[in-house]
Amino acid sequence: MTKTKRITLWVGIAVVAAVLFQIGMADTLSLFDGTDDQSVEVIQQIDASFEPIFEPFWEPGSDKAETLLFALQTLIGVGIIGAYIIYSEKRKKAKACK
Amino acid sequence: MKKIFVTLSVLLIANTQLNAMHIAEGFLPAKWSILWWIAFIPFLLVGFNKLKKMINEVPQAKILYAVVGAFVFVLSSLKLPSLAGSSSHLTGIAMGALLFGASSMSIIGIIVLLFQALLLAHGGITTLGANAFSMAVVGAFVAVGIYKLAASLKAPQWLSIFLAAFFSDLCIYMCTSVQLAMAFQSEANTIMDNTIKFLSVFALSQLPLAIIEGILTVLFYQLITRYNSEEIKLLSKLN
Repeated sequence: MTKTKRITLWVGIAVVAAVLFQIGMADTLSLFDGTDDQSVEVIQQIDASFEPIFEPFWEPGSDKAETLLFALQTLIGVGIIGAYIIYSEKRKKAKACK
Repeated sequence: MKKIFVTLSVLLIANTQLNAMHIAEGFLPAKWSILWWIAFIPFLLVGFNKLKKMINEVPQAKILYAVVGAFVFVLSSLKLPSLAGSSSHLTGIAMGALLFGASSMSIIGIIVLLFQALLLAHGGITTLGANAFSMAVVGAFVAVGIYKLAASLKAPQWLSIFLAAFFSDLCIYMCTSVQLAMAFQSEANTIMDNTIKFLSVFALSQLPLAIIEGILTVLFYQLITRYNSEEIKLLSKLN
């Protein structure tokens, strides 16, 4: 197996493992309150009369949906980094062949 | 190879549903929302011009910019459990700031925050200016400043990068605390009182995560140095 194929395989395994892990652990890790939720509580303590000036256009229907959407963001980023590694390995190899 | 796999795995596995850092949609009074937009826009314009110039001079840097953007994309989607039963996340902004200059990160910052505001209902349009200012301006300039300071003190490069990422991450959250403290000040609640309240939420959670951000940034820098050392040298001359 070539080095590029090996890297592709490892990146693929990491992606699949990570997605499964995220879905499996979503309930456990959701027990930890986000600091932005806590900051909203502080705002309400400081100024109980404050009403948000605007509402989000839409919100994910459930925690699982939110988890998957953020996983999508991670996957886009990791996909670009993975493509960069593969491209750079090929470029390095081509330079070495010259 | 193992290092690449470990780095990617950590980046991926740490992600779960995210609730942190951004000021939520609507949670800034209108005048403060507008003010932070006005404060951010000049950095965006300067950053765009600077990036355009750099890419004209070093065309190969386009790929590198996409990769540091992807790094921000990944790290800003990571939710990690922290102290006191809370969770928060990383930012990844220092990496690009060190390579492309602080103002160049305003473009990546706004893209990532816009993506999260529109598609994930995280952060928001009204608070985008404030969130972009803390993450892409304060975070980026602190990273560059700390890196230069550490380098001038002859610190090893890995340590300079670690410290840049560590303080960049912490200062982003400190800036968010101050932004909220200013917006909700009153006779009964001074800016200082409010800042302490918001810092008590953000600072404790963020400290261990800033260490993780420092380590990941050092690892990622080593990865791109392996492939793009020539481009990095050219970019550092332009900076």
